[in-house]
Amino acid sequence: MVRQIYLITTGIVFTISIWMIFLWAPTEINQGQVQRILYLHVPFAWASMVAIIAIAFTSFLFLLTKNDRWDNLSQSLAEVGLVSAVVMLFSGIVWAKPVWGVWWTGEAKLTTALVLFFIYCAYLLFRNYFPPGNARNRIAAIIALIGAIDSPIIYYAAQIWEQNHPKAVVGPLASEESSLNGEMVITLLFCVLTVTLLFVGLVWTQYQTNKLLRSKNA
Amino acid sequence: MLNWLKVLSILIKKDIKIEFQTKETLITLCLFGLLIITVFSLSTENNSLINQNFGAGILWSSVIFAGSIAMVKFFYHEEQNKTLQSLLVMPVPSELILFSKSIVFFLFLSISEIIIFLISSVLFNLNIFSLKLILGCIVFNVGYSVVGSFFGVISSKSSSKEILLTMLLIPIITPILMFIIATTNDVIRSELNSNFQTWLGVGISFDIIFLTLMSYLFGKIIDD
Amino acid sequence: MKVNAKKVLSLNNISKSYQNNLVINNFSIDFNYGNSVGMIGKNGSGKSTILKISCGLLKPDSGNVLLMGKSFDSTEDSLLIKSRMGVVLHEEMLYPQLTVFENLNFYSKILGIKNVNTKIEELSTLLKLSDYLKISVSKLSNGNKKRVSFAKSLLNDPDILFADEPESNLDDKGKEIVSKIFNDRRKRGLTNFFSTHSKIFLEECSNQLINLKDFENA
Repeated sequence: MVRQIYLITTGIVFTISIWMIFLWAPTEINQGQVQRILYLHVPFAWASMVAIIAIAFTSFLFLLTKNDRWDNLSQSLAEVGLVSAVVMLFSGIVWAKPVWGVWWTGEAKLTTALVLFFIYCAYLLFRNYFPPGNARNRIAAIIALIGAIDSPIIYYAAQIWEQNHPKAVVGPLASEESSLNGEMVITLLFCVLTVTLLFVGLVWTQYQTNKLLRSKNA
Repeated sequence: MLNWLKVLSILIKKDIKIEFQTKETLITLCLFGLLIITVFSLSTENNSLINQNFGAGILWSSVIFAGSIAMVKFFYHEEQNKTLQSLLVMPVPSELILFSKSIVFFLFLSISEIIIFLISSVLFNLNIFSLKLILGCIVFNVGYSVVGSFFGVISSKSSSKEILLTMLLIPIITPILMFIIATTNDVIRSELNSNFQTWLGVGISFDIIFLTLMSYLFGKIIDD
Repeated sequence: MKVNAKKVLSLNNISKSYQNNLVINNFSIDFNYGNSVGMIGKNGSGKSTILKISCGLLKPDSGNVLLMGKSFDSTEDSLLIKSRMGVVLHEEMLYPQLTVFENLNFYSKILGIKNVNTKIEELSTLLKLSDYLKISVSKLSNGNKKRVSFAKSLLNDPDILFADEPESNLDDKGKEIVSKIFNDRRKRGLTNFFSTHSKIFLEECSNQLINLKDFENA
């Protein structure tokens, strides 16, 4: 019943998002049509950042309670979080080239996002390469906590780095500030809601899949 | 029971003795590092073009990757001979195992950096010897050795040790990597107005945070 | 030194899984000081696992372990227990790059042994290792490595000696020496806890038997 409600709700919200992105939201004056990518980029960036915090939280709970459900949830969050991070990076790169004239800059947020992507990869690689068992789950939780603790330090270091490295943006829109009007903000917020619902659903599906796999291997 | 410093010195002396016999870690660090430097030097016809913009990146790429390969070797024998387990049934606090490994690797890393920097200064016409860089290297090496030893123990128990260690290590040490590259750039470009003090704060904070965190967590990762 | 506890070892409802395989299930045993306890069981019955849990090398998934009345969970108690126990496992746990003397010297210093040279000489005479002291461990036969491992475990004249198939890899002379060591220790009120496949060794060296067939997993 809950699943059906969720599927219907997500389907409706998703359809509305597509309409809002492509038909309802006005075209941004400076960036043109390419600005619409941000309606995808920003929500997935939000999802991948929230996932890191959530993984740290569930990992902490796993270390505290030793309940496998938290470990399963950590793994599921990481798997969906990685996908979110890839979508975020790819959509960001596609947006950057026409707007900034370059695919990538030394901006703090970009650097942090890239490093966080690698932290996701490292976490999942570890789970794959380390022999399965309680030791693996415990150490994976510790790695997640280390990654979460390091994230603000990485962001701070990236900000200092950015100060020393002027942005190499030379594109036609590099010097223009983007402007979001009311409808754009509403579209953006609605897309955040859509992606959040999608994210929760994907994590839940992955959780159930991992649960089946774990009981099969037991 | 012996006091901690005495046990630590016993552990360190043992590792240094083993390294003097095998020379594996030091050779891996120096030769692999120099190999990477050589590949970079072949990548351009005019090496002096590289030095201002890429010198720091080349130097530290070679140190990082040579270091992670050497780190795998450093812990491989421990896992193969189960000697880490032999220390776990001895009255040795687990943090001391991490500290001794970190200190020994710090020494080897520092020695190899001297050699790599010397050769690089010849190949790329770099003038990189300054107190600022020495201080930076010390701070970097501490963080790299502690985090590397921590993940070295973890990855030694898994398949694909090299890739796992590198994947775990490099994202986590990003702050001190940025710090040392920025410092090296300052030295190469002889920049007087720089953020060195800010960066030094980042590096030292990173070292303190991760030294504390990892010594607390080490006991939990070596338990089976 | 005997800590004030009647039972030298208590395992209470110990369970342990390896890579999702249940090896030990709700296993409980305890015995007093001064016993030589032999454990037999078929391959894969969990003998090595029980020994490793007893000496603190492995943590059980559930249940608790008390060695000399103390738990491995407390750091202080753990260090105290470890200073009074000796361990001989299948793996020799020696540094192959160092000589026999250097290995024993290193472990003696860790244990805080006074008169290290005298102690090493005494043990090497007992275990017939005098001719091998200056030879690198990597060059020794498996039998001699086992003897060195024994010497290492006896450096502190431990209150309890854990041994996993102590007679394996040893020739008849070696087995005789080990058997004598076990019996001498028992006469002095010290404890041995070992596993074996050899019924002869069991009869010669133990006064208490644990048959894992009686504790088979449900």
